[in-house]
Amino acid sequence: MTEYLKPVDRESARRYLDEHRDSAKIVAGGQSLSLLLRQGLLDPDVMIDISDVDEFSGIETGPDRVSIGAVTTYEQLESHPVSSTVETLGDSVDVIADRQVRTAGTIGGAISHADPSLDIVPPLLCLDATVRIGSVDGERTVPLEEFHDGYMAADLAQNELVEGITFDGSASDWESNYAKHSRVSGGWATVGIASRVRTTDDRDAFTDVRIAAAAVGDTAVRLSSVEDALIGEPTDRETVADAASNATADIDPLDDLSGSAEYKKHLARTLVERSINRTVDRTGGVR
Amino acid sequence: MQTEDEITIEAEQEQLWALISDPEVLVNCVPGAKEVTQESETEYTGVIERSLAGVTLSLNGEVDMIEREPPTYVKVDAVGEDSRTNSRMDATAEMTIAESGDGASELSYVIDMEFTGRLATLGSRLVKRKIRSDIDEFFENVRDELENGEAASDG
Repeated sequence: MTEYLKPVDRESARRYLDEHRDSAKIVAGGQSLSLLLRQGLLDPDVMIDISDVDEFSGIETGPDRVSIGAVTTYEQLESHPVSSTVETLGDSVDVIADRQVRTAGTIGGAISHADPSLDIVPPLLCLDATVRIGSVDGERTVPLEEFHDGYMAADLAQNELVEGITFDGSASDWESNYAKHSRVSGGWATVGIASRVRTTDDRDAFTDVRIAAAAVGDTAVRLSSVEDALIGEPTDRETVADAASNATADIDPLDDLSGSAEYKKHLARTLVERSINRTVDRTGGVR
Repeated sequence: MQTEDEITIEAEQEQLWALISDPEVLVNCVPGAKEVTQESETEYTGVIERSLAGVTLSLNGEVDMIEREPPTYVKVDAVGEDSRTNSRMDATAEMTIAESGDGASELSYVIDMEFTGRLATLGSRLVKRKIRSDIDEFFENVRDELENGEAASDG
């Protein structure tokens, strides 16, 4: 028999996890977990459902920080103003799976699951998001880019859980986008690309560029070869196309059912170009 | 499901061959290997524990070298079974070690794998990348073993 625990505050969530450690699984939204349970691949002694923990829920926006609780659902993120101000987040949530997954699935659950094909991760990488991790010993933070430290692997000890994610969403002069291709509508990304840029006041040159990709490596990755090729350069389409051809330098796709590695490399270049162009169009620049 | 690659390792053919035939080295280098026993010149048994998406597998395996031409070529049949999830992995692997000059060798491999049981339901999207990442880690560990005489095992 599996014991099902439902703490209502942070301290008891942390304590339960500390007591049960590797015999426990955290239930955040259960959208990945329930599949594994149903398939008989997982049979934990204890499940700790954190969805009623107030401290882990909701989105707080301060003057310079946005903080998203771990059990905030995709749907809650979708209907929050931050999905409009940080468009790459809104674009991404719009194309995640189906209504059921968006209603129940949570940001913290996704990040902990560490699948490199998750759509929510590239936008958060472009925001230089920080993961808040809790345990009975207190809280620590780690950059999202370092948190996913291998294939389906996260920098979490057995008595630690993801409690939220924080990023700077204040800079209104950034524009952003998420572009995805999947084999079927609502399916896993064959390739997903987030871009976030800042331009000069007259909008004709890039001052800051952040690009990140899903489904093309052991983890989602920032595409620094494309970023470096654009910073300080003009925002015209030819420059963007040239820079996008660097996308393959930072990725390592494998052949799978969604397509061959060569196809995914081609797709990555195409989507990088598309995502950056859409982002530049959002700056309202004439080019 | 097939995976193949070529890698260069700073070791002579014979040295590399001896290394990857040594059960102690294999325990150190194969990610998650708990024990490896050499049953005969061509047969090994062992246990490998791996975890993916929180699912832990304990594969009881047998490896049989069905063709071997030391120190350049080996073809093996491998079987691994996990009793908890009632899963089975069958694999055939071919490995060629060629001198590439300056005391280095080029090792190329082709591995063909098939999964049955619940493990197969995890899907090739998840399992394939895990195996690729484990193979990469194995060769990283072999390199460490050559340089330091020891390798880190992440359990």
